[in-house]
Amino acid sequence: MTTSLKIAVLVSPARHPVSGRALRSISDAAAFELACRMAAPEHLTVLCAGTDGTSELREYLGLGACQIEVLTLPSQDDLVPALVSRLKGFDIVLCGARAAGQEASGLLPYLLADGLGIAMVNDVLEATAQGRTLTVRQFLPKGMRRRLQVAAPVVLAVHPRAPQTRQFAHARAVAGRITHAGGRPGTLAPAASVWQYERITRRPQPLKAKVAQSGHSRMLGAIGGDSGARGGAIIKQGSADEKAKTLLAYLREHRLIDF
Amino acid sequence: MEQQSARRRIDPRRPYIIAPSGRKRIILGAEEGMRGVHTATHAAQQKPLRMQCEAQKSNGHLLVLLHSERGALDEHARQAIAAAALLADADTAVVVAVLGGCGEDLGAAGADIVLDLPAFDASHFQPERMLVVAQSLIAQYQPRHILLPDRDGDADLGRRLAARTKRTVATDVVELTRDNACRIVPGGRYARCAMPDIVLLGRHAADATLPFVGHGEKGELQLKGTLPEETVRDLGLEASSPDQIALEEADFIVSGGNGMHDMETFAALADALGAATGASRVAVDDGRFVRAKQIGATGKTVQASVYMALGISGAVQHLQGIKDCRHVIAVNLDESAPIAKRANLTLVEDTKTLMQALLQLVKQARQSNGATL
Repeated sequence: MTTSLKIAVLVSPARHPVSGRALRSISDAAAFELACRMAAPEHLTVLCAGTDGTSELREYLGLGACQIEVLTLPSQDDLVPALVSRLKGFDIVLCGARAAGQEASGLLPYLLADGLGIAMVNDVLEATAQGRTLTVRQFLPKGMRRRLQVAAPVVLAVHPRAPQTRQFAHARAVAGRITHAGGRPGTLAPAASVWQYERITRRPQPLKAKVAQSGHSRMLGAIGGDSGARGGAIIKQGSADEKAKTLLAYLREHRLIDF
Repeated sequence: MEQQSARRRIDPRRPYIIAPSGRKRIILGAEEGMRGVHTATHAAQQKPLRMQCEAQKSNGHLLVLLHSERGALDEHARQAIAAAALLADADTAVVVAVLGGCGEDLGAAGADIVLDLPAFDASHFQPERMLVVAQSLIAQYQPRHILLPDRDGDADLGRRLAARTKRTVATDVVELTRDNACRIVPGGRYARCAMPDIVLLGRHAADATLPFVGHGEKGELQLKGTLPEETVRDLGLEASSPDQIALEEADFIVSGGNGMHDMETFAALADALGAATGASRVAVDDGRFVRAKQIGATGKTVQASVYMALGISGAVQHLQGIKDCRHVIAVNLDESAPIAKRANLTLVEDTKTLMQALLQLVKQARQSNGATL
């Protein structure tokens, strides 16, 4: 259960998308819980970089984190280099797959793994350590899961569907400590786009082809032409057995079943 | 004897010719031509080529990287190809690399050069190898921008590529023009940036219907260097039991409605097919299914590859819930039910007899398959 590996967890403050209330990020909380399964909370290093949201970070203290270290930075651009220099020497770095507060681009684990020069596994659901070898269960869509074996050091990005059973306790939230440390800006500067922000006042418009249609082609579009037969094949003839065979043949033709 | 009338009369069967477009054309005053009944039908429209020149002689490329699923592309992947085709100039070729391979012709989807790479499907964890393939493609085609759909394996590949090659990137792009990309960030804000090197497209950021087609020529990958060994060991896939995963995540759903009352055979069939079960609102209101199984506007929206609707007529609210399903198979006694318009295959049959017949066939197939293995 417990391991001698050095484990760091990255957490970030989140905001409710509608009310704007301070929250914990689901995937960051899942990452913290996964770390707690590998080592006792007092042996974990819980980090937050670049933001100063004490009330939001209390959420993670309430989940059982003893101490959260906030790396204060002059600007957001230094976030990845500062984290890279702070995380050198750790065996396992856990973070949520995607923040719910800042950019929420899901890029941080990739940039960290690249900066640290170590392996990275995305969409992690479970992880168990034996010595320096980790067995990881990865989330895949359509109900599939994958088992992977990876040697430390490694960055694990935890999927929001990872099991979460820890409860928030106010006493823990009050007892926990938040410390501030000046982050050391590194020299590694990743190429980043320059963003301009504006309030959402309209729906996003999808990219569409401009078509100057002739009347005839517009009418063809309206009736669907001869090629655009609406609906698929309709089988009326034959017995139930024959129809069932047709169904099975359809499934086999489209490689939807494997028997 | 011919009577002269004050009103000029028009011959209803004036001669006509068939114009090059295949349509009937009457030339006023002409005496020659056909007079019979013209029964030509409208042919499917031929779409023009997007590029003016040949694909090989293009002046620059846009690269689309995507994974196929079971040898086919989903709507999101098509939207990414369409977005590249819409962004490209008349002399820029759209190169599409299909990781996992795809059997169909992607020219109709807007691709000019298609690379089939069946060895790099998503069933194996091989990020380092994929990165080598992606970097080889970049070296080979020197694309101005790289587009990927922001989902599953492609989202992972795009982010890894951006981190490794230090290129600018925009993820979950919801709005795209030739000059800039726009995404939504928490706090109800749009974030806009100049068109980055790598664009990860969100769902419905582009419309997949195009007024033109691409060349759809085959391309060959020139691999730069050798494929590296993965540091992460893949211990293989494991499928979850369908009753353990959420309905939204299920890949095969058998769903019952008002015309399906044989619950025993239904459960046995779902079990034999390895499918999750769903229901329409009427069947849930009847108490035959729990509320969590309801699919539709007030229930769940599912994204299965196969959706088998047994005795479901297909109310609009239900069709909303299955709009992202790829193959819909309907079994219904009423062939004019709305579900028949949505379904890829409709069987007009009583659900009970069909389920029993299908269950027999599936059991036989499973047994013979087990014997051969």
